[in-house]
Amino acid sequence: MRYQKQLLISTVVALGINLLFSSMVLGESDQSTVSVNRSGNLSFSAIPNSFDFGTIAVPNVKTPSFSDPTVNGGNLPISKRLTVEDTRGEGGFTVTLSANNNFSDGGSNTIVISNTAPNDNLRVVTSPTLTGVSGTTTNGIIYETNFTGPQTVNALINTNNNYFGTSNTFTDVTNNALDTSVPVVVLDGTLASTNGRIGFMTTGVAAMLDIPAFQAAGQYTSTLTWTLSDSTT
Amino acid sequence: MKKNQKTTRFFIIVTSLLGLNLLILGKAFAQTQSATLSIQSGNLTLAVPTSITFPRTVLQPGNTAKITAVENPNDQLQTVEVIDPWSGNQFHVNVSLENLANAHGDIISYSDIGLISLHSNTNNDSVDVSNGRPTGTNNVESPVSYYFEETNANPLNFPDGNYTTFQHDPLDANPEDAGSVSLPITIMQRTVTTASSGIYSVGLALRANIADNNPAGNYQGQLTISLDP
Repeated sequence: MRYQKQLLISTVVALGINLLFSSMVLGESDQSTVSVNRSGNLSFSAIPNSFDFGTIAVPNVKTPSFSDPTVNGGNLPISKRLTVEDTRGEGGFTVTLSANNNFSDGGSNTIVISNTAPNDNLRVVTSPTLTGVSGTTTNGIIYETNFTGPQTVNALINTNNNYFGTSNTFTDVTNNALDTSVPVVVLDGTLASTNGRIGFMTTGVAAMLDIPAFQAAGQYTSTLTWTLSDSTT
Repeated sequence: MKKNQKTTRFFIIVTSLLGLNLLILGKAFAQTQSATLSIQSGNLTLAVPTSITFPRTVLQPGNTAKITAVENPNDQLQTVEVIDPWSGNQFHVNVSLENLANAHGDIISYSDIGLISLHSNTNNDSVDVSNGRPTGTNNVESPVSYYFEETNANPLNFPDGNYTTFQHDPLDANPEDAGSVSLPITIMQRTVTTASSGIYSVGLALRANIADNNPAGNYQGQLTISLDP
């Protein structure tokens, strides 16, 4: 009985210490079974603010509207930043974007969001031309100050054109039309478990919405979902 | 020593489970953002031909001619369009014509000129519609429209009876003078207020009856196409 009490007390103490100081616990152990545990976090530090496509009159022909129409040759505002923070130092990640639903006026009128023509109406691009972020820019990603690790994140829908009020900026990029069922892969930072990153990785995001001809008047909204996933090989 | 070994083993198992749990929680994070757009309805607009030109005509004494102005220099049928961005308004498109006059004041009276509007759809709609919404909705009509298949038919062959002749305004004391303007002919109208949108159009042709006593000359008059309530 006394032995069982000692065992129970030891277990509770161990569990408590484990919860509070998991890294310390891992450090003390030399058992191979604990090597799957990772310290640190993978998280969104920031996602872009709401895309506001403004107000337009019912168009006679299909007409594009832009989230940042006045940024033509300049930088996207800091509010359009997408930042992933990875402090694990082990493994990689991916970021995808999808639409939860078509644009809707709350009634029967919708603007379809699809990755297939002719309804490929909502397109997004990324661009590291962003105000107020310090670091090293590599292939469309700003690796912020004090970042360590491989700068190999693939920005799959990056544009080198910083005219965000121009259709070509968005249509010249492939596989960037959002869909309600198939996510767009925005960033692919896959790494082997033997490698890792520590720090902030940032890019800017802009969007274009094609308004179909004679779309009915109304206030349209949609919800987009950014998903950050572990991607370790 | 034996006790310590047991404790340690249990300790490690808990750690491993905890680590796995953390990993699963960290598998994917999702955050949402919104996207918004405001679309405002607009006003009706009218698109009309810049000019309609009758072909040059040579008459021998005692002859008459019927000449029709159908196409513009680009060989396209002249069209009149009403663009409706969900205005929800009724409208009438009216055409009136001024007597054609030459530099000497000689006239070809508008009463010698007839008008016909043309549509190319086979849906028994008297007005063509594109981008019509709600889909299948066409609540615009033409009282003077006839089916015209541009590729296989010639609008010049429509009989005189299909043309509507411009009429005098009873208030016009001198309808045969240069500058006199006819009563309007309605070529398109919507008399309901059902909300809809689209581009509504008809082709437009004019036919003139020319007598041999019309002096030679370059005759011009103003064709007024108006979008009215």
